[in-house]
Amino acid sequence: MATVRLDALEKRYDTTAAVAGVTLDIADGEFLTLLGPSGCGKTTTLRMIAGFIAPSAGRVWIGANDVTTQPPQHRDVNMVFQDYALFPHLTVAENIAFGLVERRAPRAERARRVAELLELVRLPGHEARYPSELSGGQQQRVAFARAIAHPPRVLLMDEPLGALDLKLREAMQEELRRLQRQLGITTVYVTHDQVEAMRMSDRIAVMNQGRVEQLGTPEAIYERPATEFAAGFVGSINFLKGRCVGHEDGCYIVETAAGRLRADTGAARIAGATPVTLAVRPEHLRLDTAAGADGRENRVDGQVAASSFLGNLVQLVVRAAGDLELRVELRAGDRRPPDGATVSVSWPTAKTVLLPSR
Amino acid sequence: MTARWHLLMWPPLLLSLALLVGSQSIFLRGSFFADLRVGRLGSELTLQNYWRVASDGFYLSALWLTVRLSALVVVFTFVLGYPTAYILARMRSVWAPLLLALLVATSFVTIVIKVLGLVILFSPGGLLNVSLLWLGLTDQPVSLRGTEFGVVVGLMYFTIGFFVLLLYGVVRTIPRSLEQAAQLLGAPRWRVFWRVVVPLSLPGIITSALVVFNLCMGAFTSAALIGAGRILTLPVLIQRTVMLDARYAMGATLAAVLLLCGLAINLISILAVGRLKAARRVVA
Ligand SMILES: Nc1ncnc2c1ncn2[C@@H]1O[C@H](COP(=O)(O)OP(=O)(O)OP(=O)(O)O)[C@@H](O)[C@H]1O
Ligand SMILES: [Mg+2]
Repeated sequence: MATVRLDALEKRYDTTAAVAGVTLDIADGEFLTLLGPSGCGKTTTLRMIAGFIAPSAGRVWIGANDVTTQPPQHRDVNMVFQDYALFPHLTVAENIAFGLVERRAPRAERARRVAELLELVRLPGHEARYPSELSGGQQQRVAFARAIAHPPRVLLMDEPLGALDLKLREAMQEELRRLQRQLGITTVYVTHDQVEAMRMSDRIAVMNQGRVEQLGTPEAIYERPATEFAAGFVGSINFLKGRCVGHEDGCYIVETAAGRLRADTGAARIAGATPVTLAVRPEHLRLDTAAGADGRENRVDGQVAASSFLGNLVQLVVRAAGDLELRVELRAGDRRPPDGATVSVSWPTAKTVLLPSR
Repeated sequence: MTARWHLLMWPPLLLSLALLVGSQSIFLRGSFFADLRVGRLGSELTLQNYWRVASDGFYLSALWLTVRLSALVVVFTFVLGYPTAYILARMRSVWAPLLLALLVATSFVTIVIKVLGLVILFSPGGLLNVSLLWLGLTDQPVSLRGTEFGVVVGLMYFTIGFFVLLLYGVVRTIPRSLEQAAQLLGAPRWRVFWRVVVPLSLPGIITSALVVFNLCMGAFTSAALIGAGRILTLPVLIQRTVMLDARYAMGATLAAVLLLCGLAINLISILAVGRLKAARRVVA
């Protein structure tokens, strides 16, 4: 168990920068997820921590050691690969014991540890099977057991659930999280699935084009996104373009096509009259007539352009002035206006986030 | 419904069998008749030729020499070829396929040209001896002509390309992530090689080694040209018996013995691998 520190880590290939300066501090025992779209540099970052890719610049620290130039086998990290990378010529027990053999653990000790790990990943009795005789989820568990057989200081996982179907994926998310908590191993997890990231992580680093756009708890990233990219990548959200024209009562005032709107939270250092974007999640939007008496509400009038029923909620698209489209989520029991009805959409300024425009 | 795709293998199998049996049976038939020299055969069926081969130390030592040289070539080809194949297969460079192509191309250059090149290289005034003398490693020219070692080198010249090509394909089927996983589990390079790469390529190694062995057992040119009449392997002996002595029945007998020995050795190796697979479940 150890902390991990990435210090201005970079990896450049001929023309492109796969990772363009990533600085991260990962706490002891933390579950940190690198989240981002395909090609944003997640795998490259992870492999630089493992030592398979030499960084072009920057350092990697594990605990108190600078491991930047150390080969993978000396870093005391382990990895669960996307394709599991189980040794096909070895049994489940031999796979799990592979690293214990390298570390010259006595035979009895190995057998005890294998039994213990199979118990932990809920696969007792599968010692003698070969990987080809296991289901995808079972292979995944064996890969995990093998990776923690000799507890590494840091556990790396690169989309370990990518090959599983949705049901199994969800079950394994909980399973992996339970095991990680139980063992307290510092974990860096890679996924491009935002739901998975939210469900499992202590903190998420949202990556885009080789950089970390935002680092924070799932709640912070969801409620207070720092960039348009982070806001759009995690969950669904409405963007309203405009110009920041002032600041009063702890509120930013923004001129948009749909009128003057306010935002409580926002990135600091927004100078006057700069182009900005307001962001608000669909579930914070309400259709009602009662004006927020305290002025702590934003309000936009428009027509219902479409609506769809999704069981637990109803999604509306409201078209407002200036070709603005707002997505609104109502609970299924709420009053549901017919298509074409004129409605007034309102939401708290406290739930409105001001972002610098891209 | 059971898949019947295995039926596809029968036409080519039968064709090659027919060609082999058809062409060889006429020749090999001669081995069962007495050899009356100058190309004439006796009229009664007899096993006397086989008896002669089995009882004459000359023929037995030729057989032993052939097997021994072939085995040596297999060993040397493996020692040189396996690391080469592995490195080529794991190279990220765009040059890897080109290097492989070059290496394989050398295997397809007519053997006569290559062997003559070697003969020139190894001759007393050739580059090798001049260099050795100049370096002071020897004070009189060494000759590989007429030595077993020379023949082994000549044979390797033509087997190594095939061997590397075959094993390159085998190593490419082993996912790199397996080696990386082993590395993270604490295995240094040679342990990764020993515990992951070798077992996973073992079936391929055995097959490729057999290919090399078979090529050598039947190789005539290297043994004849580099051996310079002093290294009498069975193929050389067969050529002499048939062409120079016109002893067709004896030549046929030697050919039959060579064929049977080759078959037996292949069969035993394949059975041994089958055993190994069953025991270890090696999957490539
Ligand atoms: N060996 C390489 N040579 C050149 N470019 C590379 C190399 N490896 C990766 N890249 C580039 O670096 C970028 C980041 O790749 P990386 O594999 O880290 O993405 P990722 O975030 O893991 O994506 P995914 O979700 O698809 O796995 C990509 O644009 C990729 O094309
Ligand atoms: Mg990736």
